[in-house]
Amino acid sequence: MNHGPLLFFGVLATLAASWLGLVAVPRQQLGNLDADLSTNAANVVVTHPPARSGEATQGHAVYVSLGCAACHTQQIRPENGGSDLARGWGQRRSVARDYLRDQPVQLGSSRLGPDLANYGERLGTNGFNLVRLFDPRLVVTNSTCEGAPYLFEVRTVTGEPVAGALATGESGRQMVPKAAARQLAAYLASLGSSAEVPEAHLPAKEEAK
Amino acid sequence: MSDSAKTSTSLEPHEQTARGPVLNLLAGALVWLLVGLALTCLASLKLHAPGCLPFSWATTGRLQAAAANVLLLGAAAQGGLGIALWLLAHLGKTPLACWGSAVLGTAIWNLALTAGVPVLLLGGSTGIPGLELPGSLGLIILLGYLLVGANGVAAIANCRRDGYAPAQWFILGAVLWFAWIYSTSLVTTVFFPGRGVLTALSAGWFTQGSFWLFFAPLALAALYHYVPELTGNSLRSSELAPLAFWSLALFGGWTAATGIVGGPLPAWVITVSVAAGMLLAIPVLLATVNLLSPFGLGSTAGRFAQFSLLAFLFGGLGKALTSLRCANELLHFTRFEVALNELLLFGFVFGAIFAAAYVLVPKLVGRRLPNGALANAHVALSALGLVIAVAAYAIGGWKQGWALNFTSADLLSINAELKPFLRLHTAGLAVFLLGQVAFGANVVLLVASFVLPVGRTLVAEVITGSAPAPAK
Amino acid sequence: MNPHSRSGFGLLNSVLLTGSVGLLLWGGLYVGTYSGRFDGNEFSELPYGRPAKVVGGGAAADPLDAQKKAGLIAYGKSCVACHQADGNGNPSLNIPPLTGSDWVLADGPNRMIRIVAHGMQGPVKVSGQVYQGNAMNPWLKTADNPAGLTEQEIADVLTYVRNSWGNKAGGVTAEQVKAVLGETAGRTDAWTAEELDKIPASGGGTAPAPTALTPDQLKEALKKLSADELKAILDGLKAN
Repeated sequence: MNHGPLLFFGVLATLAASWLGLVAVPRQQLGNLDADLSTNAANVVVTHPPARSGEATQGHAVYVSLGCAACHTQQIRPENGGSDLARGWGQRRSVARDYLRDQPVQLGSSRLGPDLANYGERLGTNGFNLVRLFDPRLVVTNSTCEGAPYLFEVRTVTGEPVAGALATGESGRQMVPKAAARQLAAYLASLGSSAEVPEAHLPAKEEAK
Repeated sequence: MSDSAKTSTSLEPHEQTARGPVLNLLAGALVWLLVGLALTCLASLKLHAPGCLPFSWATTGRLQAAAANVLLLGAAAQGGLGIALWLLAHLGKTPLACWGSAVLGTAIWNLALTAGVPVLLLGGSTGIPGLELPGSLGLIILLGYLLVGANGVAAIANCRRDGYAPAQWFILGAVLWFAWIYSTSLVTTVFFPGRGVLTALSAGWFTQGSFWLFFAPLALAALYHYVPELTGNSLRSSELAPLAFWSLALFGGWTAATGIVGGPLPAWVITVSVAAGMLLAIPVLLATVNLLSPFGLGSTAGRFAQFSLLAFLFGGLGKALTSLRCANELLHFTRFEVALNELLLFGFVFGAIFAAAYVLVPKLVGRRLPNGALANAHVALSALGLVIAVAAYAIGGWKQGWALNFTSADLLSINAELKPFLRLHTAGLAVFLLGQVAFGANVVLLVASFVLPVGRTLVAEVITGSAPAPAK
Repeated sequence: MNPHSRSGFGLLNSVLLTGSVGLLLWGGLYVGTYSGRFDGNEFSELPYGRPAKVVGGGAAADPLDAQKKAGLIAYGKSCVACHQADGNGNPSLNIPPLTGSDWVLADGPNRMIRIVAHGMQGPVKVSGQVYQGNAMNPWLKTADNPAGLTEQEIADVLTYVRNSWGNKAGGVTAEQVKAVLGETAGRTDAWTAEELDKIPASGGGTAPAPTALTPDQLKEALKKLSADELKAILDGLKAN
């Protein structure tokens, strides 16, 4: 262990090997993944993952900026890896293809709140989401989610109420969601990845096999 | 300042060049540690008091991102490098090649990180776990790091010693590895990311690699040097040391996906990471067996070293065992994983840095830390606070995982049961922070003991208008 | 400082080294078995193919599914803030639960339609517990209440409420809602529990399900029809 060159070479080689093995090779394997095209029951071509609306894409940026991934995950583990499927958080495990449109992907590492990978499919309605974003405890009494009240502002009603505004307790006042709140709600409503893909079949298909 | 001039003759001439940069790095590390701990306490508070601080700059995610970057890229990195630069100068019997670049690098680094904290709190995060700082700031930090690290590499190249000590291998590895890991990660994850989950995988390569191949080797270098010095004995076994180094080198970079087990990655990526995670138990065991002393070490430095090794043993083995898929089924996404990370960061890495600092700083400034009670408080509060915080998260996380995965309990009741553990964790962190404040107070007293005599003579000179009396 | 080994640790070294080699062998076997042939499209590590277990799939399509989905949306717009997402209400605010509620699970939706359309006031006993001191707003969409629910939405939300959170009662159709609204046209006051108790939960106001009539009942029914109506029926029967 007294040879400087040997030490240097060993240090370089071990790191290069791990970079090649776990960064370069997966990139080569998964880097060319594209959206999966399939035909649904009504003979319409659908892509998975589906394209997001502009508002939902901006909502993804809001989600990243607020750091929601600190408490929420967006990945469904396989049946032998946890209770995700049993809890109804998704119909199949998540695969790489589901995240093609997410930049950066928000897989999350902590489940203090429910998994959101299929939130749109489970609960996705904008009105519901906005109340929940303002104060989650209005929707779920003992929720530990901090919500995002700063994404809303209380205004007096002059003329017509703003479409989509929430009621406040007082008459003549409305809670208007700012653009970021609407975008975030649209993003949450767009979350869903239960389409059939080659890498992971939906359960019903399994039975037919 | 004739005082310190007299006592600094205990420093060899080649070591004197290291004094400025090392003290600079250690001082910065202490400040970042206090800031980072405060942010961590706030983030921990928000988990059980979600209505507190309802501002967009204080969301849990933003606080956690800021805390992590400050603690890792600020406190741990600078503290570890400070000790490392000293060890290289001391062991290699060579002066630092260009200590000016080290000071400049530290300054650039601190500026970028100081700008980074408000950027993260105001929503400028990249959203990539571990690499939240915007790429531009990351590049500046990388530049500062390279300026500091170049001194280290040069010191090893100019080593005038007969053969390398274990500490030197670890430091060479750490300095080179982080340079490559950080620069390649900035390129492949921040500036030119792969689509979708590839970002998560390469971010995982960065975070796991920077722990096992930068922070751990720096801490081990400090321990490999100072534990024999503190116990008075030599290393138990000289054969195990190189094995520990090479096993760490071999497996350390391969655990990229241990944080994404069960996730949307090809099975082989996860399998390889799990295997590497288990195999990292080898360097953990080899290093702790070599260094752990069955007898308590009396001095503050000794107690920190002991605590650091125990934290490495339990945390490292815990990380190895929890990389297995069956353990992940239970413990992934729970607070248990956070407990292990905190044990390793605060207990192992910072414990080793403090152990070295308590021996090194008095040597560098020429006098001991003034207050022994504060030093004792530092050790005691750090140990107590960390044990409380880690135990709270470990037990709470285990229960959380069990309830989540093996019962049909709904999330609300699981979180209600978790709440007391979250509160306990915040309390433990607060105690830990208090210990670091005690250390900071000790450092302030030390600085005051230098500054006050000078200040007094200056004031006397101004008042009497005559030449100052010779310093006592 | 030259590190030199001390005696007595030869055994420990051997144990550690043997253990390390063993761990290496395990690692190699593990990677060999569970890597899915290193295929980038293989996400399951199980060496014998994907698990054949079915997770709650293959269930027959729920005929009420579309209504429940639409009902969830309507619930989110109107009911969730008081009755909560899990239907448990808020007893501390005297908001009764919908989960397991005897009112919700009654045979028919007559009372529920009235409550949703015109609101409720006064004390009410739900599943053995009395709730008083609170009132429920009317939710029918009218000129005064433009943010209310249409008849279809009322039917959907009641279908959702009656078939969620463990509740299992029948669906509610828009025709049922229309019929009830016809019966209660012009009503503006909120209902009280006493008034609703007098109204049967099912029957009345709904189109009677076709049942077999006795010959006498058929004669009576035919007598009520006019000549033209009789002719139309007979023509229809002949066409089929």
